[in-house]
Amino acid sequence: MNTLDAFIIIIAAALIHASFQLSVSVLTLLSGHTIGKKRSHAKLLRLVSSFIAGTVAMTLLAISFVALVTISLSHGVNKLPTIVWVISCGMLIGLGVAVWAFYYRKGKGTALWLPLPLAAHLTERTKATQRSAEAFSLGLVSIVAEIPFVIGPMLVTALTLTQLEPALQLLGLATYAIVAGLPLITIGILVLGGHPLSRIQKWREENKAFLQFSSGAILMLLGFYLYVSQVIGGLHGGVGI
Amino acid sequence: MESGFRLMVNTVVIKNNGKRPSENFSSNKLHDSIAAACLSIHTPEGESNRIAKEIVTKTTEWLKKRPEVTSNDIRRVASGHLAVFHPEAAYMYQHHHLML
Repeated sequence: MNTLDAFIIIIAAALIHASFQLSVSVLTLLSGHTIGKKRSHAKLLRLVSSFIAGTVAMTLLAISFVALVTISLSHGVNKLPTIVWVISCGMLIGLGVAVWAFYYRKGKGTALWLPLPLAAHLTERTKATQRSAEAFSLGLVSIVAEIPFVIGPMLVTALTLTQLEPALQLLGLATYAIVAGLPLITIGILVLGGHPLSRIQKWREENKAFLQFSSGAILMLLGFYLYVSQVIGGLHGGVGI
Repeated sequence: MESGFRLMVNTVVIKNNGKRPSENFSSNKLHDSIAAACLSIHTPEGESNRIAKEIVTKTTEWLKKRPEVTSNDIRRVASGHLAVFHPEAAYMYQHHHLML
């Protein structure tokens, strides 16, 4: 796998992560409650930035952890075993189908697949968030809660990172975190710039089918691409990337 | 948020389809949630309170004939009235529990 291919895979995985909506929903709720309770703009800025920092920190930690496990398991082997790629590709394709099937709940709004008690707990925690540390930990939790879906892109990114030079691994990790965090950064800027939350939420609701379709499709495409390049290519002596 | 605005009505509110304990209707709570929805889309505070008062008055009028309602009923009726005054706030009020 050359460097360019590796970064294309990392960016594709990060875009899939970016299309998942749990953190975006929590950030929208957090902003709504903060503005609705007449808290200052400085407070809103602190909470929004702490929340985004929390999501980025947990994303970095999770990928680093998966990469560390991968490196530990393949210690002394230059190339990852084919079975690892087969499992990852199967996971990506399975997740793509799962996203199409039940990422959003049917009906109005942008209600997600989360079990209702967990969704209620997150909503209550979001309402109760007043301090930057709470917003930071809410950001951490929102990534953990989304793990059943983001584990696919994170695993592929971790596997790809292990194929790179150490300096490029850090760059790849940073690239993933920035691209995956782009929707949150965009919404943070819009909210802090005075954009009405109702328009952001309406846009999300009107485009949820497109987001669902595209993230499922990209997951499956990435799965097929990696299967062809790493599994079939590997079996035939390095055909492809 | 303290609204200091209270209209008396003896209606029991069944919350979350009976999964949470029922409680008596509180005009203050309704006022605060409507005002918060208005404020969340940058409506000035005075206007938010005026709209919230108006909605609470209309919703309380509707509640007078009903001894027992669900929290969803109140949300539906209040957002219907709110949509006349402020459609965007009504959207936020109606949808904020459908975000996660």
